[in-house]
Amino acid sequence: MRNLIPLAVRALTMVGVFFVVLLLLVLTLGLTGFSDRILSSVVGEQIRVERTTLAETIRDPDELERVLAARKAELESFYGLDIPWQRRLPASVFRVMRLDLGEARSLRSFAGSSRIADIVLERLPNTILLMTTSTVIVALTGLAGGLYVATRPGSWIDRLVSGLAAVTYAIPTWWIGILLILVVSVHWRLLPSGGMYSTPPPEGGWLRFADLARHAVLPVLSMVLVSVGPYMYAVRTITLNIAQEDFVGMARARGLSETRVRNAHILRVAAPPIVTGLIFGLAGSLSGSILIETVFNWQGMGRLYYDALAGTPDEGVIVALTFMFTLMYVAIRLLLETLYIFLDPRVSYAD
Amino acid sequence: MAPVLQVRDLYLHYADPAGVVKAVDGVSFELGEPGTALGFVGESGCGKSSAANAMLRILPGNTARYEGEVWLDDVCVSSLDAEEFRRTVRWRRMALVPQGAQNSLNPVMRVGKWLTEPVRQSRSSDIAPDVLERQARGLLERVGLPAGAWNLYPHELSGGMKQRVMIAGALIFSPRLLIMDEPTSALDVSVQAQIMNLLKDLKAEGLSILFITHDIALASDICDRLAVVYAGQIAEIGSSEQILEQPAHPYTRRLLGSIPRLHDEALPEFIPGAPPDLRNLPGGCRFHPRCDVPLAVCPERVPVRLKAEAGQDVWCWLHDRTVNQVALEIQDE
Amino acid sequence: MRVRQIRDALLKTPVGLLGLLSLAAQVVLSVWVVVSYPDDFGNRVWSNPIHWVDNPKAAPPTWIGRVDNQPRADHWQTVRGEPETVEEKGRNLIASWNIPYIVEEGAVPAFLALTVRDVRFEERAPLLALTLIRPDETRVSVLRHAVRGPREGEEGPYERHFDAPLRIQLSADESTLSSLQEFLAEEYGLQMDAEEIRPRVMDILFGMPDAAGDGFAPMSGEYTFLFQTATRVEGDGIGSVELVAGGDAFGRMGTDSIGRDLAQGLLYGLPTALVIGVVVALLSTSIGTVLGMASGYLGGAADTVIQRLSDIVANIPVLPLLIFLLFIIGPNLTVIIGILIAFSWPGLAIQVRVMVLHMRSSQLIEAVQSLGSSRWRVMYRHILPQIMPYFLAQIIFTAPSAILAEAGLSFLGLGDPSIPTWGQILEAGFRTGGVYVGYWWWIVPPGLLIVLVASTFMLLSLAIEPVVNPRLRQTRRAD
Repeated sequence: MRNLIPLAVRALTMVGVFFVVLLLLVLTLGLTGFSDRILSSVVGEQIRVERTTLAETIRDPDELERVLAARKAELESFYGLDIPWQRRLPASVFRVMRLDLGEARSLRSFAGSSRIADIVLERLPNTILLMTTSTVIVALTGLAGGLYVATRPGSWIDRLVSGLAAVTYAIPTWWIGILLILVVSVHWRLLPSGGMYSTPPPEGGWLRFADLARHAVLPVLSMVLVSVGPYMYAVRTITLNIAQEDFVGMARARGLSETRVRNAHILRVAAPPIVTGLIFGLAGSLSGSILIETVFNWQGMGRLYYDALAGTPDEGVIVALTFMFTLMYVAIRLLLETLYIFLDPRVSYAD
Repeated sequence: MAPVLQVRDLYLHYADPAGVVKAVDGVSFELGEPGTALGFVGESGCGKSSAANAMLRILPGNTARYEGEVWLDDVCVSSLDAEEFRRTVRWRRMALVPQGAQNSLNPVMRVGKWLTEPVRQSRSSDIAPDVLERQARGLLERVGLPAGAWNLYPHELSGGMKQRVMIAGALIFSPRLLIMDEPTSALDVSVQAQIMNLLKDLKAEGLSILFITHDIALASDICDRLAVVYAGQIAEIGSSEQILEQPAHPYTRRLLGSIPRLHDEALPEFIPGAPPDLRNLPGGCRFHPRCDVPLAVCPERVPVRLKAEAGQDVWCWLHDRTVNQVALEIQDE
Repeated sequence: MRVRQIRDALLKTPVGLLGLLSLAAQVVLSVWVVVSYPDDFGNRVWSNPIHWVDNPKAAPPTWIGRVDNQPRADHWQTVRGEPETVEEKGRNLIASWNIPYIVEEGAVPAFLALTVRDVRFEERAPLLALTLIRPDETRVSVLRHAVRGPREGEEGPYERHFDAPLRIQLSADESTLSSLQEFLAEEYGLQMDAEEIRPRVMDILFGMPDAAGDGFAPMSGEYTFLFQTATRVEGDGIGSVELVAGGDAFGRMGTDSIGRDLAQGLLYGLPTALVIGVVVALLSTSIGTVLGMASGYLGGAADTVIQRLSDIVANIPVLPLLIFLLFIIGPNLTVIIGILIAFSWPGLAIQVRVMVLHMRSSQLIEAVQSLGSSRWRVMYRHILPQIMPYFLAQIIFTAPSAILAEAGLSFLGLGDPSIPTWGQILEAGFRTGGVYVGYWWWIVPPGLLIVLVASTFMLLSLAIEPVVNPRLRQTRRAD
């Protein structure tokens, strides 16, 4: 019960983030006239569909045009195209939230649909797959590595991890990905340079899975390589700091075994700040995954950005993607914040 | 009957970039019958806390020298290997209430769980959980904490409450000896008085206490005997009356002189000179640079244990007749 | 006093010194680049394919030859003005240029191109001819070309190819194909049709049929290009003739797929990266400091608004929003910098506010205030100096992330096309598939440069870290 108040405060910030981004989206769209264009394309699409059906019943071409013009005006007033964009803002916000953004110009979904919602949503699982896999690997190796290094402060491996963490901030993730393609895929011909499945994809569940795994190795590896250093370093520093706290010395003085001291008094106390570390790294790994998907042609939402930007720009898709990424970010943040609050009884907004 | 605690030639040195820190440097003393208290008095940084750690074998990573014998009820516990010491002696027979209880409780563990943890974790004890809880709750009540404290987290406790939890925690195995390291230094006076009364009660029930403090007046309130510590060594040890009434060591006299008194005309005096740097100690008697009655021999030779009175030993050349002779001779030359 | 500590940390530690030296070198180089490059380098030079037309496409750097010892033709380019000899032949004046060209063992050039500029004539248009005299004294007529004669209604003297030079890609020219066909038949008795010849023009020009009879073995040695013009009147003629034999390697850093000299683009990227890093860091840090101070000092509603705003902006996932905004507003470096600033300030604003609150309750500040100093004077004289070290540290820390952010956006295709950056070079290498065919010289150097500049700032922040955040220094308690 006591835990719910800070959780609510944090949730409110995230809801704030969500709506500020949303508002920024629709304001920019409105101010630059994109909003009108998106709606016009929605209207145009609908008219096109109706023209084919109406053409079967109305034979006279002039009559058909007249009916369609009337229908168009009706639709325009329905979508609010006849009033200034400012007054459509609430409706626009709602449209973005429902991904009701009409048809894409040139992009199609795997099944051939041109509805923006279809195109974006079918990519979501692929993005989640890549992000979760790499995050789990980063979390596990970072935790294990950080704890190991914390037992050897000042050793060469400790310095290596500190160095790696510092260097990571100076290396673009996606460039590492490109280098991996250059060396592993092009030079050694060991692993595929992109995509999620071979063409044609192998038959059978296991073979298909193995094919997917083979394609995932390099993208996951690049994401892990750039995030694991700072994470390991954070775990190491947090653990070392906590190991110096009085209550750890006290735990030893109370005759507890080293295992118990490590598990119940160092790791357990380190858990909340380590989760905080994950929270801080989240925005970074989100950006990282957008770029890594692009590099490895991973058919997720990140790669979709690149596809929507190249060639004929698909503004509706870009709006939808920005919204979806924000939504995803806010959702994961809320999850981690909840986890944090249940890990740390000290949470209070006094400090 | 053997004394509860005997410490012989205890050394604990740390390695430091600036040299070796001789925090405990050849300390020997004993704590007699059960139910007595020995006070360890000295300025901060004189190695009192290190002595407590050395007895419990809590050694930091940069320990450079650790030796000496610690006898507990006629058993030489310092000869046990580390694992056996941990399982049979530490906390079970010798428990510590540390300095700075503010940060000595695990911040994410409830008081009850923290309190009973050593027992639950102990392989040798097969006490039933409900019995353990009853005992532990009894201890909380004993140290004057409300029953509700059982379910609280450390950040929900006041400083005084934390200190009481620490004491209750130290009593969980009913140890023979309780080492209290500045148990009241961070508390206000009324809480301090409550805790002192609690300690007196415990003592009356047969618990032996090693009471470490910089506050000689406070120590004399509870301790039967006092040891004055200076620069990692004991300067003087004797009954509380002897130390307070007829201090034999110039340092003890200075220390007593520095206490403000309510009904005294004399102003408190400070001790001239800086407290010694444990990395870089003067030769001979370590107090001689600050001593107001130094002899010629003092910078030359380390003082030996001398008898000032029955039951009062002092490490000071002033109490050695032969050395006084030698000293006079040196001065004559 | 803390500012002095930072200065010492930078000047007196090896890490700090290394960072400073590296930064200084980069700044000097940047200044040189800015001074020596043309104003509109991006649009007029870098993004202008005509400018790079004579360069070999996707050629590795020349030094690669010293690494793998493979024979590679050097890139060769020569311009001649006045003819060497002019002789009268019948009614014509024949001007000749003899241009020697050496082919090393096995190093056949990748392409051959002829460029003729500033043709002038009174009545009859000049004829141009290029003949290749090979080491074995055989002669190949490579080109015969008649400059366009007078148009209807045009009056002499006539000028041709003054604005757009006459450029003929000989390795792909139809007339070259047919003359090669003749040459092969006459010299070696080989009958090949144009389509067979087309892919092997260079092999035929600089080789002879090999023993097996199905290919051409390179012929090394001294070649001579004989270029001739036939004109009628004295004064007719050409301004200059240029010959290019495309190398298999080019310059210090190679070229990309449209022949751009990567060395130039990479150098140009340095001042841009530094400007992005420094401007974003400086401005966002200033905004953060000012807002943080205002928030901490003013308190009340201002504080609440600033803190809520910082909280939200600090928690926004930036890249998706950056992509969206840049897409809508348009890829422009000023916009990129502006948006990066807009999202980089909140961290410091929150931090500074906490520090100001802490200091405001300090005795010194209370004493100064009770003596009647104004709010702003107290802020300026007493609080600002204490915040300075954090301000400096934050600048150093923000710069590399701004550089990386711009690179990432450029890589997604949102870079400012008028100002080439390393991210854009990488994007071009990725988009055109340079990665998949192993054009490492296009991919590795720009990334390395990004890392170099960013890690310079990382070195500086490593050096000052113990001053700004002493808790991070490893300490052991002695008592």
